[in-house]
Amino acid sequence: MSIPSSVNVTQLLLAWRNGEATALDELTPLVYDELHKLAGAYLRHERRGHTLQTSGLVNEAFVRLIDQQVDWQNRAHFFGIAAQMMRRILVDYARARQAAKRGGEEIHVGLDEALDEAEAQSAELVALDDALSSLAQFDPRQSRIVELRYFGGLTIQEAAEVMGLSDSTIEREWNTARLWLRREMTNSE
Amino acid sequence: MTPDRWQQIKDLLHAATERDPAARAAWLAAQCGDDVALLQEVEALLGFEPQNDGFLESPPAAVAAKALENRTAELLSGHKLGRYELQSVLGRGGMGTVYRAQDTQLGRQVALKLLPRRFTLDEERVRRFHQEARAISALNHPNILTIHEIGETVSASGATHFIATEFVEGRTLRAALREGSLTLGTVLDVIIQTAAALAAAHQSGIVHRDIKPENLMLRPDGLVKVLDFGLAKLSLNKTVTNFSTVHTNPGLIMGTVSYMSPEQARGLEVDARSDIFSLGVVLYEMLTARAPFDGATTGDVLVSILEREPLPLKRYAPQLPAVLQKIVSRALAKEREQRYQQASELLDALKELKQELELSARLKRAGDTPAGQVSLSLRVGQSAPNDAAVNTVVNTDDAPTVVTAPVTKPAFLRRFAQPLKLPAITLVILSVALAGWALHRYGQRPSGEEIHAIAVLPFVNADADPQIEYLSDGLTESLMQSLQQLPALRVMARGTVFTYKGREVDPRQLGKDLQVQAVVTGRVQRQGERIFVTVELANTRDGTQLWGERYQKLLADLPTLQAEIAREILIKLQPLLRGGTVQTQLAPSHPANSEAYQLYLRGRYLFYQYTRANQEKALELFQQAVALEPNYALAHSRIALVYTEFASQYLPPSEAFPKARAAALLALAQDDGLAEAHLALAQVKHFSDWDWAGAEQEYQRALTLNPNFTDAINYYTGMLIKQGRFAEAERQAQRSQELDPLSPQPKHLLAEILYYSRQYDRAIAQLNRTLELSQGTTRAHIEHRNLGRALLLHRQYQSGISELRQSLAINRHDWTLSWLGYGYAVAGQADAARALQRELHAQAKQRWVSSVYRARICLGLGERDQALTWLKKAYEERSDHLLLLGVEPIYDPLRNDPRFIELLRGIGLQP
Repeated sequence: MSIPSSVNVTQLLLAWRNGEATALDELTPLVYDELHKLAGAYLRHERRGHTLQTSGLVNEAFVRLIDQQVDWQNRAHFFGIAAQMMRRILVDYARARQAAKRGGEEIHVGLDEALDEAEAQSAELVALDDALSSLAQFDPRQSRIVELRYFGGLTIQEAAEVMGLSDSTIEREWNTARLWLRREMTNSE
Repeated sequence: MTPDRWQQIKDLLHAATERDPAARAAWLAAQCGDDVALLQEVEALLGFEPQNDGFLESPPAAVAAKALENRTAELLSGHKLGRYELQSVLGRGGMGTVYRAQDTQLGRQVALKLLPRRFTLDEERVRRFHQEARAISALNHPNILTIHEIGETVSASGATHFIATEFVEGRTLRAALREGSLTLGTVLDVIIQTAAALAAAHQSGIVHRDIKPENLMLRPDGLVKVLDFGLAKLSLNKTVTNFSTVHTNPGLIMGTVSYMSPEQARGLEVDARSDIFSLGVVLYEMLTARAPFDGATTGDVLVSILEREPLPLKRYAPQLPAVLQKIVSRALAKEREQRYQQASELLDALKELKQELELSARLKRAGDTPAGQVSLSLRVGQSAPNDAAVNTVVNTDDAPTVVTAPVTKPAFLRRFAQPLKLPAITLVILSVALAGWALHRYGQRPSGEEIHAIAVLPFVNADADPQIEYLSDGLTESLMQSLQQLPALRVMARGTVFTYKGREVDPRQLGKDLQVQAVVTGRVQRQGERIFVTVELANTRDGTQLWGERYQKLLADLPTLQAEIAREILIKLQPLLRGGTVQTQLAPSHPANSEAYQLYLRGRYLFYQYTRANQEKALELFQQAVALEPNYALAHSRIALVYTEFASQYLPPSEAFPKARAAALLALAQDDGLAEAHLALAQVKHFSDWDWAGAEQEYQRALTLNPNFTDAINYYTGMLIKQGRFAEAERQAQRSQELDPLSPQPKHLLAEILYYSRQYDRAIAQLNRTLELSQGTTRAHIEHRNLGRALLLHRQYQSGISELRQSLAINRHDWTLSWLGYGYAVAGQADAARALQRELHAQAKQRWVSSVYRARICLGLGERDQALTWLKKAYEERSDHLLLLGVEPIYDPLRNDPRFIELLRGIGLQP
């Protein structure tokens, strides 16, 4: 079957933590596909798609892919990957939209209520992605926290648990990061 | 920015936000000292604080919804994959997305297929795929898409496997099929090239596994390229899991499932012969625009693949050479041992056919036209006419048999040496090929094998479910009706064949009993919204089957189904029919609206139950049918017929006939070619207008349209009798008897002719025989009455009275009552006669009672003046009983009376 067993994914996760770089290569597509699948299922039930919660997706992917006995570090790794994946999916999409707007080939055409909102979010996402990449150059940890919070949909507490940091640290990092990102994004407009 | 510097800034930012904004500036300035840049930076960032509320707090749901809605993530134009730069999406499929891309190293266009990751998880499979791809590339076959490279790129999101192939300018066969019909030549070309590709691949031990129109590319120059060899092997979830959940429109091709071989459908190992089967499916689809195995759900399709024989090609494309059917049948054999064992065998068969057709085309140009040969430029793959009227032209001299049908979809036109002047768009022409094919099929048939009479037995309601009785009966009758319109064919009428309902019948015995050469039998079964119909056409000389078919349809397809069956049987029968040139309309058109059609069928079913309640219900159903389909001419005709039926029995003629006329005219406005509507109109003119000439015209028209229409023959006979045209009447009644030997109706008419021509002894003998047949049926009261009447005039009063009493015991009809009164009177029992007359007067106060009845008793009593008064009253009522005035023996004492003569003239009869 194409659905990987949770044992499999958990083992890959462990292998990766233990320094096996190739494990990530194997892990990534699994998580990637799972997110898509979950989103697909979710969207089929929520016709409008407005309410798609990335956090819900990531959490469900975790429940489905990972052996629940796994320790918090593995959990952190998993969410790290998932949030990163989500960022990639969304930003890829958003960039394509922006490209299309600039006269590139219109790839996704659809007329629904989410269109305008998606339009606006796309522009913001592209700017955010650029800004986050800049941030990561001098503060990768902070960048990751933003990734977890925003793309992974984790709460302060969840992010704290995943990162092995205190809630207050996460909160402080989150707030200052946003100030910096905000300015960065404003300037790039 | 350095991490240290940022850390410094962050600390300040954090601390500043903890402070009272009023004291912030001073505090910050103190902290930064002379690092002005630091102060400026922190202050600038703090300036964004008021906007920070909510920023990034809610997830990008709208984009997520959009970005994630596609099952397979796609890369985007401009993206680079190794040396390939993606340009545009060429297509998407279950096996991945195909992009047009530029190979930046070699500067050429390629097609790049990105495989979904779920297909590349199994390394062993990927390895085998690589191996096959190398082997396939090594073949260097012109009809196999060249693979340039199979590789993978690793990005942050993981490894992506891709296949770079030559870029083929053109369209897939699927696109070509969508665009419209192909010529037979093109079909053969495509299949021949594909078979050549398969033959080469199979030689190297490679099975394609997924031959379907999406995987065949057609270049503008005609070259075919087979795509995706062996790729199907990579697919892990090839087996269909959720059988019953995938719904499609019936008849539509559903994905890969439709092309699976039976062994594939079972999940067994496949070999080259599986590809041959799939190619057979493609061939069938190209020729007919239909999947050979279809169904409402994936599960149904699979069942169809495993169990059902596809409908013959000629159902959709009757003009195709017979050998093509053989080729398709062999390719689609369920058992792979019975298929072509190698693609090269199929290839040879197709090449041979093509060469033959080419040769005959050359001969044709040279003037030597082989009869019935098919041209390569024949348009095929048209959707078959769904529920169209089929016009038939049968020529006497065994030459072209042409079936034409107006179709809703673009039709094809086959040109003859002498093209018929028919509008191209609306006609389907089964070409000379049909005649040729039929001759081929039936070879040198002895003239004694001609079919000139056929019986369609009531289709068996396999579930004995009374709820669908109307379906089995309705299909039987619709089919009969279609066949009845063939002038060269005697189709046994309803009254006769329905006596076989529910009986096991041996075709040979039936042939002897009914003097028919062929018999159609059928079974109908219903499962929810689906119906299964099995139809067989058998030769009654030896009981052999001439044709048989099993249909699985949705109830919604019912209107199409009956037309389809009729068409097929017709095609089968035509070469066996006696000649005769005439143009008729076959299969009166029913609307595509299945609900309306079913209402119609149920109405018909009830109508023929001949009871008042059922006929009233029938009327209701016909009315519902026209409410749904206001243009439903056949239903309008039936409404008209119900009213004519009611007019003489349950409704005053002044009420019923105008309704009948209105409905008949509505029907004829829609379709002037409906025999039923002409019959209804004939009856209105006959019984209500007393327009004898007009009625005659309508009867004749009805009978021209449907020479086997016994209802029309019978009513027409009745009119001829009233006009005293007994010889003509007898000829018609004999015809009716021939068509409907087991029905009491023609015998009844023959007896009537004898009675009104005053041959009472013969009438009595005939009626005694008829009575045996109708004994115990609702009709028996009519025979008893008529027998009683004849006996009275034969002066056998007591027997006559006894018969009339028996009739009244079954059905206390005023008509019979008046005859009994007459009987009592002529038998000398005047008091009894007067008592009945009083009864009729009393009844008349409650409801309409024909004045003719009271005139009758008066005549028995010798009260001529009073009789004439009643007849004058009947004339004013326009009672249709008056129409017998010219021939009824009991009026003989009045015939010289000027008042009677005036009445006759008023009715339009000669004294």
